[in-house]
Amino acid sequence: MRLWAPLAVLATLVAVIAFRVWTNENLQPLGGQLQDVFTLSISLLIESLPFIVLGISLSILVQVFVPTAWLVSWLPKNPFARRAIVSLFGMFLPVCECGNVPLARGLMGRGYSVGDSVTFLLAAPIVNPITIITTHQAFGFDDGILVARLAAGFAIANMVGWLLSLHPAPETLLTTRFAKECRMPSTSATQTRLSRVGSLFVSESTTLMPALMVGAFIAGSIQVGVSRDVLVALGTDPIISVVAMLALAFVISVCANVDAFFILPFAQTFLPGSIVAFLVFGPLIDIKMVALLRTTYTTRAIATIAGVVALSALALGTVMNSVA
Amino acid sequence: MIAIAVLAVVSLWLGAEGRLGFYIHPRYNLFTIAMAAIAIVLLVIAVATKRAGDHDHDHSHSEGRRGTRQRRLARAEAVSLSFVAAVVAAVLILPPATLSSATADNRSSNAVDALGTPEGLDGEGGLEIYETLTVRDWASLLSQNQNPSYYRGKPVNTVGIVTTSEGSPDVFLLTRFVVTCCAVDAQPVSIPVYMPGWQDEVTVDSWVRIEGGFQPAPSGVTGSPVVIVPLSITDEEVPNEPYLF
Repeated sequence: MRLWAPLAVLATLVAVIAFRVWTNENLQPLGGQLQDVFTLSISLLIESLPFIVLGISLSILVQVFVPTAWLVSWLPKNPFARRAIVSLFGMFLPVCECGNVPLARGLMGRGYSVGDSVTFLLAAPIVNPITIITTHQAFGFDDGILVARLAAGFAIANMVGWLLSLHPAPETLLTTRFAKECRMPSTSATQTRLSRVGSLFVSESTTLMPALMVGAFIAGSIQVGVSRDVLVALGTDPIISVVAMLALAFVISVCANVDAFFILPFAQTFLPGSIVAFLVFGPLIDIKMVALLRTTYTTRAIATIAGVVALSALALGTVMNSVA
Repeated sequence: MIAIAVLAVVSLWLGAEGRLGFYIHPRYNLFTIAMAAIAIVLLVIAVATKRAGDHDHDHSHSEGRRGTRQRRLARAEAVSLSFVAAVVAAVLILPPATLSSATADNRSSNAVDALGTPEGLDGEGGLEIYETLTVRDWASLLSQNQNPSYYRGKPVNTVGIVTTSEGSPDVFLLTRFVVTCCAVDAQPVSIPVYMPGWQDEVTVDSWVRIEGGFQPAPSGVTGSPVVIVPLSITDEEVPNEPYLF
């Protein structure tokens, strides 16, 4: 333990804040579209930061302080029942989707399969008390939007988990770097629990933050560059409106906890199935999440997951619009 | 690790300055500050327990054979790092700024749910209650009641940013953004201000306070049956909570 470390970190933080105060007082905002790109990107980052830190903290808790037996042995042996249980974890860990990525990495580090981890990742943002409450506040039980969202989130998560479990070599669905980390022993003889906490924080934050920053920057740029009205203009066709909503969800990258409030104004012009497609697809696949998932899963695995989720949301939205 | 440290420190600084409202809904302020503080504690633990030979990144992949794939990965990593550097620099250098007219022009204004319902207009409060109404409240009223006689004699005293109007060159819009989570979901709400030659008096994107009243829209002005005619326009500092919630 280096006792000077807190002082060194504190001194660095004071220097950063002093620099920040100086730039704030002596520089001017860029103005115009470029400034808005950065405002939107920074907004996404600051909104995501607490959830990322919470997710990393839970991941550290799972990997360092919770015995493996507690996490694995009580789960049903039957894979369908196990994934069904895993997809309810979000009820007890109401972390936003960004925070679920480090937690899923932590669960895989303690022996969860790729299919189990993806089931958790896809179900937790929707089957989640905060998401349920905000969706109910926005829509109540009108048009079956809340029930359809919950049922579809649960079903799609379990279906994708099942599909991935059929893969003959699931480890190849993980990036080389993360697969290597999973194979390493969780602790070494020379590491204390505190040093393990420190090294896990470093490895998780250095993996996730660059991905989040790239995702936030791209999402901010697209939001400024592409008029939202272009997507909204497609609102009344039963199929095209679903596709437009999937595109909007992918671009907007808004948190699952509050996306119901965001999409509520669009309920005036879009059919209910299109709204449900947005509410099901958005929490699972968007620009920010793809960048974060890329830290853990291969491009091919992410493309498969995104394809299945998009087709499922498209089918659900189209069927709902047809009967509405 | 630098990225999360910078973001945590800047979040704490924005919290101390009361400017987190430039980016997120105030209900997240406490949570954001608490988790940023936890990130700093974890950072201290990481530095204090870091062993010689530990690295932030596993660079072993770059030490292997230098095939085309490795070169492509290295290029992708360089592009990714340049994005990260740009965002870190922006977080660290650019003064906090609210969304501008560029975004207001890019999004539908006065969407039904962004408007809400103004409170306290039960007729018992006298005319002074109207001086407390925000841009959002006036935009709601204008969407619900388009009878010019309703607005006769009602005073306007409200703050917003100046944005351009497509309705007439003699009209500009006083605009605010309504936010449910963070600036990403911001929706503009606006009210029309009639002032021929306004381009010489106010600049687009500036924050102003407008005091005045309503009159029926002059001929040639489209989009609203009534417009605000200002008695005074004064520059305003950007509020710490620039968005409406």
